[in-house]
Amino acid sequence: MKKIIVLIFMLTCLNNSYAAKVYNADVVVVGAGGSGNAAAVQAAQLGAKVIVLEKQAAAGGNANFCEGIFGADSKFQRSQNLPNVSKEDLFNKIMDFNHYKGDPLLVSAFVNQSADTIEWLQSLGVKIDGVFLEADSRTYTWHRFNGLCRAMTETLIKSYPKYGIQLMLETEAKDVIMKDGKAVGVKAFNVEDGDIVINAKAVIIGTGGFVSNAEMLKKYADFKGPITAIGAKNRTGDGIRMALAAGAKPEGLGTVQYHSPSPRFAGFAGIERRKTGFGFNQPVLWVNSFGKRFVNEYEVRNFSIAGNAAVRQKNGLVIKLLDSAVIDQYEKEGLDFVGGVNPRVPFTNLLRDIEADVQAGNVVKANTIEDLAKQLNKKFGTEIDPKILQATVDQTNHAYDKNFDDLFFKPRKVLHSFRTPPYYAIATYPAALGTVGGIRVDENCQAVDNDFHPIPGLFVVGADAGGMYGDTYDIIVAGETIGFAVNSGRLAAKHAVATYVK
Amino acid sequence: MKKIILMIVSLIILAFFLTAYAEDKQAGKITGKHKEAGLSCSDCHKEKTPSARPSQKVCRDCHGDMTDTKSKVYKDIAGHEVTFNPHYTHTGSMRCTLCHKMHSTSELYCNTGCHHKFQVKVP
Repeated sequence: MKKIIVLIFMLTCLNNSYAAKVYNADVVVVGAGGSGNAAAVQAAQLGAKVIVLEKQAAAGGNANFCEGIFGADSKFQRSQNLPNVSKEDLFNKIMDFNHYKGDPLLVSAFVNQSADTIEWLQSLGVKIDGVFLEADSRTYTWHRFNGLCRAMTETLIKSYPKYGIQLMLETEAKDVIMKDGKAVGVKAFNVEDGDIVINAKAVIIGTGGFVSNAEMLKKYADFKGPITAIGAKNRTGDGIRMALAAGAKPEGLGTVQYHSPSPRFAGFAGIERRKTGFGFNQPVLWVNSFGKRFVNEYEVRNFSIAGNAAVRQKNGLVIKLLDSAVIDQYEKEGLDFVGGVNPRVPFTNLLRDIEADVQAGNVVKANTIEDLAKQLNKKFGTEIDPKILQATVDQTNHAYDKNFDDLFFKPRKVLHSFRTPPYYAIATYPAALGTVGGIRVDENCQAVDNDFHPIPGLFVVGADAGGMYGDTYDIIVAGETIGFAVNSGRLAAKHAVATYVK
Repeated sequence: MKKIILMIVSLIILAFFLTAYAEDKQAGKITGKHKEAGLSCSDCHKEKTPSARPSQKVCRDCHGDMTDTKSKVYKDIAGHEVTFNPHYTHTGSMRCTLCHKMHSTSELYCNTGCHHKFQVKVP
C-alpha cells in the first residue's frame, strides 16, 4: 500500500515538472540591457541560436538612459585629431585610477576592442555624432550616439528578427541550471507560460547590478543609509544572485556608481519639472551637517567622485547653498555645470522655481547666515554652529576676492562670492546611477569560481561583472558604463560561441 | 489504507480545483470595443470561468502583430515632439495588454512604465 502512496506522490511531482515549458538554444542571455543586447547580436552573428530573457515589460534596461560610448583610438578620435586617447594612454589612465584594484587583462581586452566595437555598432546601423567631452570631464573618449543610447538600443533590438534572436519579455530568470559543474541553461518564470526552462550550451548574465535592491545595498555598499536609484527600475541583482548560487566568486560588490547627492523630494522627474535640482547642483558652496566644506565643489562634474565625497559625511547629508547673486548670474548667463549633452544657455526662471520650492517646504530661505543655520538645523537635523557656517562663508568670499581657493583649490572660473541675501539652501542625500561590480570574471568575461577556475558555460557581463573598476567608477574616462556593457557582451559572446557552441 | 489513498487522491483533485478558481474573484467587466462586438469572457480566456490572464496570442490571432502601422508625431506635456510607432519601439515587442486594457481604461505604457508623458489616446 505504501508503494501506491509513493507512486501517487511521484506522479504528482512529475505532473508539476512536466508543466515547465522547455526551450532550447545555443546561448541564453539573461537581461536585454546594454550588455545583453550586444551579447545576443554578437553571438547570433557568429551562428548561435540565441534566446534573450528580460524581466521587465520593455527591453533596453539602463541602456535606454545613457548618451555616449567609450572608445580608444577610434576612427572618430583620429579624424578629430584628439590628444591622449591612444590605447596605451587610456589603459594606463584606467589602471592608474583603479590602482590595480581592477583586472588588467579585462581592462586591456576592453580598451583593445573598444574602437572595433564602435565600428561594429555602425555596421548594425547605429549612428554616432562624434567625440565630445562629457560634462567637462577630462578625456575625449565619449562617442555620442545620434539619438543617444536609446537609439542604439532600439537599433540592436530591431535587428533581433534578422538574426533569429528570440526576445522573451516579462520573463524573470530564477536559476542557472548546473550539470556536472557546467552551466547548461536557465530556469525562469514567464508571465504567460509560468515556469519555463531554457536549455543552452552557454549562459550569459547581464542583469544590470543591484541598485534597486535595498537589502543588497545595505550589505555591500559603504554607505549604509538609503540610496536613491537613478535610471532603469528593478535592477535587483538577480544575475549576481544566480551566479553566486552557481558557485561564482564575487568581486567588487561594493562599487556603487554614486551620483552627485540629490534632493529626495525631486527625483529625476522632479528635476525636469522644476529647475531647482539642477540649479542647486552647482559648484557654489556645499557644506556638511556641521557647516563645513568637504569637497572642491567643481567635482560635481565627476559625479562618482562627488558622490564618494558626499557619502563620507554624516548621514550622507549635503547642504547645497546659493545666494541671490549667483541665481541671477545663472538666469542671465547659464549654469557653471551643465550635465551630459545639455547646452549652456541662460537658465531662466530658476528663481521662480526655487521660490516655488520654498513655498513647498523643499528649500530653506534666509536673510542672514545665522538664520540660515538655525532653519537648516530645525528642518534637516543638521548641527550647524552659525559661527562655523559664517567662517565657511568667509572662506568662500575670501577665495573669490583673492581669486584663489586655498582650501580645496576650486578652479578660478567657478569661484563665487556668497554675500547677497536672501540665501537659499537645499538638503541632498546619496544617490546612485547603478552598481558596477559583482562577479569575478576573466578576460573573456567568463565567471570564475572561488578556486579562480573559469566555470564552464557561465559568463557575466556589464554591471554584474567586477574587475573593471576599483572601488570607484572612473568618471574621468567618459562612456565607460555602456562601453563596458557592450564590449563585455561581445567578449563573452565570442568566447561562448567559440568554446561551447561550435 | 484504502481510506488514506482515497483521501490523498481527493486532496490532490481538490488542490487542482482550488488553484483553478483562485483568481476567479477578479473577473471584471469588458469595456470598449470588445464589449460592443459582443465578445464574452471565454472568447479570450478560452475557459468558461477565467482563472488567469489570457495569452497575448489571443490578441494577435485576431489583430495580427500590428507590423503595418506607421510612425506618428507625439507630443509630450513639455511640448517636445517625438516621432515613433507605438507598435514598433525601442523596447521590443511588448505584451498587448500592457497598453490596451480589456477591463479598465487603456493607457500608454511609455507613460506609466517610464518617465514620458506623451499625450495620446490608447484604444
